[in-house]
Amino acid sequence: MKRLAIYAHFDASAQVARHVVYHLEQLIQLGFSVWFVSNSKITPADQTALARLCERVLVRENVGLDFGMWQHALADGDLSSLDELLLTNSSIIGPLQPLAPLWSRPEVADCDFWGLTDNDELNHHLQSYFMVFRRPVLQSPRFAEFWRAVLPFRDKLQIIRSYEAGLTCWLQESGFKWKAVFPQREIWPFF
Amino acid sequence: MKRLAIYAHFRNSPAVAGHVFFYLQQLAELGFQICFVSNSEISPASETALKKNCERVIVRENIGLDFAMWQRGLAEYDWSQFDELLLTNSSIIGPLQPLAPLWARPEIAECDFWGLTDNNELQQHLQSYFLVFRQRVLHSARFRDFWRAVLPYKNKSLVIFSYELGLSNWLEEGGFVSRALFAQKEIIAMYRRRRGIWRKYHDYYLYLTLRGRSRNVSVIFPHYLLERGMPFLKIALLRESPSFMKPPEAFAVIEKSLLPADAIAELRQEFPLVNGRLK
Repeated sequence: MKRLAIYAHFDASAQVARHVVYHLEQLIQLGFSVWFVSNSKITPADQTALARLCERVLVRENVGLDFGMWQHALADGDLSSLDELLLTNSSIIGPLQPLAPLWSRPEVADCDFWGLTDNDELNHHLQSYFMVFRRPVLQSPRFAEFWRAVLPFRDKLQIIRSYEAGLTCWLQESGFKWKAVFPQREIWPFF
Repeated sequence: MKRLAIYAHFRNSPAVAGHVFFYLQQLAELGFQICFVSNSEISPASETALKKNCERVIVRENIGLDFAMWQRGLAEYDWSQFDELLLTNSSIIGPLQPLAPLWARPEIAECDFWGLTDNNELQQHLQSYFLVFRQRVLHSARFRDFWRAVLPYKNKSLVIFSYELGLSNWLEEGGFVSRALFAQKEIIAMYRRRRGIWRKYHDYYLYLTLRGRSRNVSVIFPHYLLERGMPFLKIALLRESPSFMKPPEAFAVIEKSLLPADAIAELRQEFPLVNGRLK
């Protein structure tokens, strides 16, 4: 099982927090190769330390937010060789409980891509801080097409509208099934 | 001055409506080269008639709405050969008054791209039924990048979020300046100024029914827009819409317009009124 995680990092003071390193370590223990992309100017010392954990460390100009970072990393990736791709970012702290059990939950048994939480603002979509894509999606030209069509907007809301809401919609229109492990309607029954 | 117009068309029947032919003819008279792109089937008779004013007629699969149609049309041209690009679509009826004076208005003197109305729902943007891009935008790499990144979504709201809002946003982030000829702010100010307090109180019910779309002035306040020289009505106004203009009033406006009689008769047939109300 070949697994790749692309971690999109941003920190206003260009630090790599300890919890970030912990998250990366946990992913590696699960068998993920990790590519670390940062939109912050992290120090050469931090880059060297990260390079010991991660297969690739990319530091880039601060444009396009997380979708710009994932796009940048995916441009050098060969998706067809992967069994699973995880896109995640530094907006979360954890794991606070073990990660591995997520993969064996019945909620995600029967789908092509999944995440932790969904949101029905705009379009009903998967929130992008943790998204797992399986082989059918990774091998589809529609997935590559999506990533070629990501523009580096500076406006965060536009990134959310175009790409966070867009990615779920685009893959759903391509016939892929998706699940949230913690669906909004179960957490908040008034929706 | 070389001008290109790309007209994005959709209709439930393969016959192209008379008001569409009239609009295309008016654009041709303004010197536009016209590329007609349709997401719906076109009858052979209509296609022949279209070719009188349009140098290209393209029929494609019904996905991606107007933005995918414009993208398809734009792919046919070398943009550097043109001084101006107009993107427009079949969601409007007109021109009800002459188009040419729009280009001479002071509101748009100093800008890189302009449209007729803007909307600040979610975010300030130009509404995409009529958009004019000048050389500086048309010849820029940034404009090209935008069109390379348009995906054919089936979902209408995603096309609006990503592309109607995205286009204004992308160009403005690139330093280009936009203008709406009939700025939402001013149209809403007209309403506030002119509508008496009691009428506003009665409007409250309409206001509630409109909430979501309450700021879309092209649907809600067409009478103020027309007064300011707006040359079009949204087709939605001939159906029941949350608007201060009901279909009978919209037809009255159309009757007094530049639109030819046969095009009006056809609209009456397509949107029949019974006892002055929508059937």
